[in-house]
Amino acid sequence: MSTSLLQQVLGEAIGDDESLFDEPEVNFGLLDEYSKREIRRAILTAVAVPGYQVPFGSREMPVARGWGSGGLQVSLAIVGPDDVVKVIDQGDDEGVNAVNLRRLIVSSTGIPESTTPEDSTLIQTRHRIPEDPLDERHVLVLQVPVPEPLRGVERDMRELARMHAEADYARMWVSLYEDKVRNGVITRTTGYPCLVDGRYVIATTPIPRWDVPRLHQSRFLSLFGAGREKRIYAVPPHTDVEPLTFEDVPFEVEVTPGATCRTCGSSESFLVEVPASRVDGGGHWVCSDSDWCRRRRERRDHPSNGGDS
Amino acid sequence: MDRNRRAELLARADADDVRQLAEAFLSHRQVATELDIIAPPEVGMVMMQVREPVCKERFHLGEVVVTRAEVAVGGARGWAMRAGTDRETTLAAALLDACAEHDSALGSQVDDLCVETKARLDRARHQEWTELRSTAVSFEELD
Amino acid sequence: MGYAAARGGLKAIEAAERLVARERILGESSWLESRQMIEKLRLAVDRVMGEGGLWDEDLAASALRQAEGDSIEAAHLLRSYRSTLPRLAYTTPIDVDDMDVLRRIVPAFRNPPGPQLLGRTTDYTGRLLQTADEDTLRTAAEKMAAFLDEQVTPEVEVGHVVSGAEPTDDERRPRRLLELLRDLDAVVDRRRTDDPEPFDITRHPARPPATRSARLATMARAETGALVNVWYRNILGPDGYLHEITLGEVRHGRLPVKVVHPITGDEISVTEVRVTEVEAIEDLDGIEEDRGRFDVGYGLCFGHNEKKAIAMANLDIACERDKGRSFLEQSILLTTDGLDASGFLEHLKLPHYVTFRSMMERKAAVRRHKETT
Repeated sequence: MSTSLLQQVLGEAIGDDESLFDEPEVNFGLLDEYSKREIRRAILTAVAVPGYQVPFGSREMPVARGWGSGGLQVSLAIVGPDDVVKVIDQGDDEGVNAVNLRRLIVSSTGIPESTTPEDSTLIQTRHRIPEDPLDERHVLVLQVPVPEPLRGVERDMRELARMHAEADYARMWVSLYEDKVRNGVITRTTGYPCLVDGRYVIATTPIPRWDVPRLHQSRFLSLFGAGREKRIYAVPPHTDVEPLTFEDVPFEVEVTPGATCRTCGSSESFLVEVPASRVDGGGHWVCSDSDWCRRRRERRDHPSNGGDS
Repeated sequence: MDRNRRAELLARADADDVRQLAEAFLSHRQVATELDIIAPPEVGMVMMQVREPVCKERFHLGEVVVTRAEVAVGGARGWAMRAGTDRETTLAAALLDACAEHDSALGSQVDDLCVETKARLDRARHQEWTELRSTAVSFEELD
Repeated sequence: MGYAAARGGLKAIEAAERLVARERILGESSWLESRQMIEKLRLAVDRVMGEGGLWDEDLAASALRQAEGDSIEAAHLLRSYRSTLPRLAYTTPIDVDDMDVLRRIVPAFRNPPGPQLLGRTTDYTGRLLQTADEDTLRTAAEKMAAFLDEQVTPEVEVGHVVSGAEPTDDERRPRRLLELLRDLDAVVDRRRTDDPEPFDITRHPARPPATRSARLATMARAETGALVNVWYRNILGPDGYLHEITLGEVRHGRLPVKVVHPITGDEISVTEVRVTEVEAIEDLDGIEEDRGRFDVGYGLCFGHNEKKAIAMANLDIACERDKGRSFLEQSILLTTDGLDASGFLEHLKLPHYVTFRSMMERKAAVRRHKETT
């Protein structure tokens, strides 16, 4: 029955007879409106109670849980037609997962993308905060694999809920103290536990310690989305974020003395090591924020252009 | 035919049969001009809640994909919900339901389709049982 | 330069996708039809619907093909599809006694009320791999089909049904063993009259302490292997919360999907789904328990999946008896979802060089400290 009367009626009824045969029409931002509203409500609660992990009905996304499904839901719930999105993984806009998530956000919304924070409004990230200073125009969405900072000291979720409710972080302090006594230094690496607004302890996702001070009294809003564990939490602008440490044990960020980026020469950014290989010779360091590094290099090579920001 | 029973059978009727009958009805000028689409066919889900026998508690078993549509013909409402994602057939089923309410001559054709569907379902059920009953273990009990 | 070459980029991703898509077409064999999978790989399709929490055989088959046969990946495809669909309605509360059985086994009695109906099963068939060539196997299957058709068809006349072969209600809808145990006053009565609203795991995260409806819904869409493992871990592993139970009912059958007709306001059945149902009889022996009676656990899931329903029924009663004393409920709610576990496992394949750099730096810090003290 080709283009029957019935199909004509159907075509008129659903407004577009093409869509009968194509992929179903995708809602702006992929999620249905009910889901978006629910996620926004969770985000509002998270902003109102800084550092509190708000449970939400995490949806199954076209990316696997553990691959940024929480960050993606937060981004898609708040993205609007005027936004410009930047997505990074490990600081790199070209990382495979960043490419994949950006493709999903852009294709389901039609909004423009950018690699420079200056041009962006919504920045979704895994494991880094961009080196550029962010401000009131930016919302930073962080993908969170493990939102519970206390899991290392307590496994029972009922007890964890009590500890947060009563701000009972004694065992966390004990574990940090034991760490220091046993190892001489606090060996926590990424996702360093921080006290937010003097009330809740959060896991700062696995961002390096290098990035942690930038959450403190920041000018931008940070939203943390944990899809698999179904939690959202937030650090609103101008909020205290204090790494848990002792008066006589200063908080340490990752610094390797003498290391500079081989590409742009920076020593004031978070560097990652490119190990020595038989082909390439000795090891070296490069910026993890690839776009920041690129612009710095361009300014150096073409000083007259003054870069792009 | 009882309207509830008709909805149940139009939900299970052969897709080609439903569409062909709807197509025939649409060629009646009167049906085509008096047709209103109240709710275009929409693919969605029905959450299946079951009552389990131990505590008589309800719980969610999972969702079932269905398509639903509602139309009116000459002011007579017609509604259909069918399993699966076939929007065209579901729209057709809603149309048949409305026509059956609107016009007794069309209604008897819809009834015929329903009766035929019922017979097919009964045959299938019968055949299924014929196959199954041979797998029942029979015990010889000493009285 | 090594660093630049390590970049993924859109082109590489798209090329990888094309490789997968091409293999669905290429090769010596013909296109794998959904109908083939629904009919001939029935249990795989059923498993995907159960773990996806969504009933639609065509979509599940399509997901299985797209996932190259990986059931968890296929369940993921179904679930992310369901995220885009509106929920049009809730069924009226479906009474599980309305099931038409396709198979029904009662291990607890030799000759229970109603049939011991084996149905479509290989439970009692020797596990012998068919090693003959495909043509031989196909011919044998065709002969078997012809034999069965001969047995069945003479009794059915087109358009009308021979009356003698009609099943009785006792045969198609046998009374459940639980009812018999109740008649014998051999089971504790936990029937509720307050009819609490069921917990919706698709809209709210289920966390301990949770309601029973949250646990049952979680297990109904849990990954089969995970549920079997939680059960087995408790038999032979370190946890040991439960002991073996006796199965009262193992059923595979069809349940009606009933909704309210918006015009008449009456309940009507719009389709059927196949489900597997299990009753697990528990021998109560706890000091605070009614040791003169049994209790019963319940399992129900989409499709034909007896392993899953049996594990579910066992874990339901185990959780009930545990009363939050152990981690059992947390294990069930938090660790049995296939998408959660596999997604997190597979995310380890993503780049982790920022976190690893941070770890390397701390290792160096510990070594430095050791050298200076």
